Amino acid sequence: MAAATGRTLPGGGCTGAYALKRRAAAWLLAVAWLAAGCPGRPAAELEEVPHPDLSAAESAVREQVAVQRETVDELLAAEPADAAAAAAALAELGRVYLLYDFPQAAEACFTNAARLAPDEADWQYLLAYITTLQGRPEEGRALYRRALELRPGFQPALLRLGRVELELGQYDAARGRFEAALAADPEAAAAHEGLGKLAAAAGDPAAAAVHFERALELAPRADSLRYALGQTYRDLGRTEEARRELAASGDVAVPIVDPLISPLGTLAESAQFYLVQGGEALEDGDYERAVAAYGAALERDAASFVAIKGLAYALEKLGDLDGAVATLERGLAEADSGEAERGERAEILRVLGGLEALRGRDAAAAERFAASLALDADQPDARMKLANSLSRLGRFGEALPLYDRLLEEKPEHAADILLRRATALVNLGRGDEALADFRRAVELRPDDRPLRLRYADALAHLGRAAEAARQRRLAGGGGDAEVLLRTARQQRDAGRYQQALDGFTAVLDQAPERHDVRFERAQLLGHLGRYAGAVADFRRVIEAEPRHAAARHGETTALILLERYGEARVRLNEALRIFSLDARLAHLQARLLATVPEAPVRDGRLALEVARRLLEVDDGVRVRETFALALAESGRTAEAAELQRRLVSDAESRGDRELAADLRAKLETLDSGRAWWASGPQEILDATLPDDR
Amino acid sequence: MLVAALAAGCASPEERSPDASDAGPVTGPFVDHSAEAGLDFHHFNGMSGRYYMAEIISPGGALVDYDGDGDLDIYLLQGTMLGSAGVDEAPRPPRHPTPLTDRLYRNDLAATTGGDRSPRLVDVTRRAGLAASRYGVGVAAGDYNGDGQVDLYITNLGPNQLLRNAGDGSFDDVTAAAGVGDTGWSVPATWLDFDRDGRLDLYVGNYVDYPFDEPVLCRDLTGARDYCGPASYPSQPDRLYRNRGDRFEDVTAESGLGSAPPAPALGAVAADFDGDGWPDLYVANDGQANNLWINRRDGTFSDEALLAGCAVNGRGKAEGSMGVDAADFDGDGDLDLFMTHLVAETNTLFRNDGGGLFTDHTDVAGLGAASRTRTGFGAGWLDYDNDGLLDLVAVNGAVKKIEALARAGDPFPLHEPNQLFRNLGGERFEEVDGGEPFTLSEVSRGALLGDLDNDGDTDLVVANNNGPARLLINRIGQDRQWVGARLTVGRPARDALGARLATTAPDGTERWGRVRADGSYAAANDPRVRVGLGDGPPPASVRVHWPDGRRQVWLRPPAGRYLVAAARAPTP
Repeated sequence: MAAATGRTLPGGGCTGAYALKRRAAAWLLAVAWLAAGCPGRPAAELEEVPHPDLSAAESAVREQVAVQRETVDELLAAEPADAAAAAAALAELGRVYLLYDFPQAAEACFTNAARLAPDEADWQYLLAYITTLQGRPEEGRALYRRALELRPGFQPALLRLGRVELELGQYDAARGRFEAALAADPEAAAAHEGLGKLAAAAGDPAAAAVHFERALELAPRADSLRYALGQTYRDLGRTEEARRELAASGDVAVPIVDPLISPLGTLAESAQFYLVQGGEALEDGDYERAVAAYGAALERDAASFVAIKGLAYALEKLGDLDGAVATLERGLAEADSGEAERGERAEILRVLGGLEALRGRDAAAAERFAASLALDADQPDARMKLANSLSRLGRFGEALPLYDRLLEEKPEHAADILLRRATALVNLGRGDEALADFRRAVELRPDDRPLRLRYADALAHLGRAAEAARQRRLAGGGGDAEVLLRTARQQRDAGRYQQALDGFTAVLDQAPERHDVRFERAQLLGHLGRYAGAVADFRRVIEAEPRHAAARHGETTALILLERYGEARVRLNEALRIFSLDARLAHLQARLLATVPEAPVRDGRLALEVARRLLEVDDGVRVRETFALALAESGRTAEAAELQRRLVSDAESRGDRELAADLRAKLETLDSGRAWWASGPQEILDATLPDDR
Repeated sequence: MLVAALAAGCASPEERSPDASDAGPVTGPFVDHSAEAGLDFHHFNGMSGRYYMAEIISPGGALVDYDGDGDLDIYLLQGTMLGSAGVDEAPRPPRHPTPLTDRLYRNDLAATTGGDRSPRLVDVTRRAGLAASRYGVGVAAGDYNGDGQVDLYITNLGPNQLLRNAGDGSFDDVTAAAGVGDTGWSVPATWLDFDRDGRLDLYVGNYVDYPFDEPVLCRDLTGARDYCGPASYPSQPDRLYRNRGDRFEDVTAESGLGSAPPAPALGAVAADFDGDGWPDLYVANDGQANNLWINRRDGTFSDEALLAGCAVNGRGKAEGSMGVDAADFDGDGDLDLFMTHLVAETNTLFRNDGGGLFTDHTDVAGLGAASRTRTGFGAGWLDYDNDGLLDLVAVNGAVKKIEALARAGDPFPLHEPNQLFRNLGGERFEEVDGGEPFTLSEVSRGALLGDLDNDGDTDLVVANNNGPARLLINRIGQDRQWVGARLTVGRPARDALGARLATTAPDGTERWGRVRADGSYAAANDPRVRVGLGDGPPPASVRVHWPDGRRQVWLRPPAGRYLVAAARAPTP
């Protein structure tokens, strides 16, 4: 490559013909673009823009870069020259390079853009950004200042300049930037963050805490703020609060939104870029973002094993098991038609098996696991899951040899495997062998009380009462939480609810962090009609595990039963923001909005929208009825009546007289041109019970 | 493709070095003395074009006085082919003669015509009976059996080795008998007497579970192949072994170290960070929060790094921590931390505000910007000019292809120059010219710190990946006054790891040094303490704080030579 960087063309000529017609030379030579009607201005000297090695890059990336470079070439060679357009094209090319992590090429582009259009704040800003990124904050500072001169009040430049000055220890200057940013936008979280850091550096943790708390309110996803806040609480001696914030901290930074850097990701053409985005989203626990990123990766590379796995995982996390299964099945089809590794196929099948098991479809799960193992026998995890599925299906004879092999493969998990094998043996009527396995498992984990209790149960089941009692004694006294819990569950299952409730309460007194037990108590309270108590317990479970779908459902059900309909509506909305695909919650929401007795809580249009979406995944009788009732609440009673009439007819033709009578009762109201409303909570809830018709 | 480029025989790192004949007058404090001293070690990383992550992580090394003759010898770690291929299939054959093994160089200090002493290194690997032919990563040096001879614990990609110094110039592999053959991919290790029973216990930091048979394929954002990072693999748990006299007991679980989720450890320092007299442990993890294991004085530790403010950087971000070193840079009597990180991150300085609570001091110290474009590994505190203020060295080398080098057709496009930072007065640092060796661009990993010519200043050995080891002699520190000491404990004497030495100037100013061998990256360093005195008067006194809490004071100590002091061994 020629080394002609730094050459300057005479700027006085207005023809602009010198060399610029030769595209290849356009990068190397200074540009006399201003020739067209701007004599007297100095010539712009352009830097050579390196050609990053893209030989191993995805073809889409090579093409993207080539097209953008060509655009730049053409603009630089055009006559009359259009400096602004050339600068914009260079900046765009620079952003592409920045995106793919070629900072040197990006810097050359931004430098040239800024030289071609020195009065454009955007190019100064981009150059400042890349310069700072390259470890030259002093230069970055000067460039940000220049951008601000060109565009006073340019908020992203103000905030980034403040950060640079903070890094450089220029605290007074930084304070001025952040205060100016805050004056322009009182909700600028980055400004509060900067002022917090300045206060912390000045030894004023109390003031720092105020800023960090406000920043966190404004940017709740920026969990890096929790670290700053935690450190500040530490310095204030508020140790417990410090620990809490630090434990919740992460590395999501406070965003500075601008039209140049923030949307950089939208330029990406490589599947790899989206794979990385997907991975980061998964790490952040942001599954919606992960779905979008992996979806984009699959659009670019339909056979991407990483994208298939990632998308399925994210969908599963969002509760969309059907979507996850469909994704993996598509991946399997791709793998079968392509040149995927056997290991990849095996892994897809294994994950599919896991999802089927999660959906309670153990037969399908077992089939998947077996297929996975046929492709790659060296998968102890798949074998364990296959054995467990077979056990759940009652196919203990088939499970047994798998457990035998697992004992050899996973000696470190021998106690668990022995426990499962023993259970299988019990079910096969091979009691003595089962007890031998239990005994070995207990020897391996003598302090594992639940395991010992399982052993005791087995002994009791096989008529060895004395030994069973001895094992129970060894498992611990009556005050032990596990023993209490076990007893409480037994009492609940036996219908001795008050004793069970006392038992769960005793467990929670000892172990208040046992949210699984709190959930069980909440269910029991609901069962006993003590809905307020149930709501309180469900809420604590949700606080600890916001994605606990059953607790969400339990809470809203209890609220409806307490006739706290408005609150139920709010909580349902919150739950559905997390579980947008949970059909049961969605049905409850639609039914509530369409039929709740309290007029202010009803919202026919929203009910209709939810019900319509719901019908796409569940067209059961009750969902269709909810749709009809939502139509009525929206004022479309004639359509509602027509739909309800069809439902009545269907029920009658199936001979389901009870259902037909219930549907007909509502039809009478609809036929009279009125919407139908429930008389109380039970009428709302009954209709949303799982519909197997 | 990398393989093709290798096969084409592109420029080697040595060929990138400036031609000596072109060099102008010698500037900077360090000169490359490798050739003169006879250091001919050349690391082989087993690179095959398959982008095995392991090929870019090694090596470290050790400075130890293995023969007890009063000068530092050099132990260097060698690699081998990775995966199933043999060395004869290497696209780029090893420079060192095969079979490839770690190497031990004995230092026979030679007097120069000017009356100084100069390292003269003799390869005694075979004579020492060393059979370390695994893929070597790091070293911890300590006298674990109290026989007065320093022993070596070698961390490998694969089973580690404990080499007992037989005292006759040879080493025996006693790994199996001692029960410390961790089979993972270990990088840092450090000896510490965490239960203060007088016997050195052993911490081993593990990196990731790397499957050669099915490595993950990693790509850069354009989709081109590149090296993976640690997030692509499950981390392996670290280990703590308690010295029971005849063998070691794995106490990872009961000590509490097993309570933290496994993280990819690359650096470790054992030192008393909270000033309670008991050794704590700082572990630098690659891409995950670091650990500060505070010794609870009952055989257990608790990780207090988050609350202490040294788990992640001041922006709340876990960084790719590599090397780490602890020293009192601001003269306030407690230990501060410096660690190296990935490109686009900064090297980080955590200032101890007393009692083991830290503040990220990187920006205030002016260390951020200078490190943002480099990937640092070896890291160390050293007072290279003996002005009484601790300076910093960071040796660098990328872990992802450097685009500009790849574009230029470089066969191993990870090399970067190393950096020296001068302490400007206890608060700020500035990058300074370290001399000609600091203009070289190599893939440096280990930085071993020690006084190899016994002239009272700190020299360096830089262990390069896929390149030559370099002996950098400090040619300016000895021009200033200094106090040095070898502090030992017990009989036979072993280095009193953790002992601290304070010099007090007539005006009351204190400077602290510490007996240590760990720190930096995968390295064992000179355990002797040196404190530079600058141009000021000799100290009024020197005070030693022994690990068991006792103190000892010397009034008007002699400067310019190493003192020797011994303490009684604690009763086990």
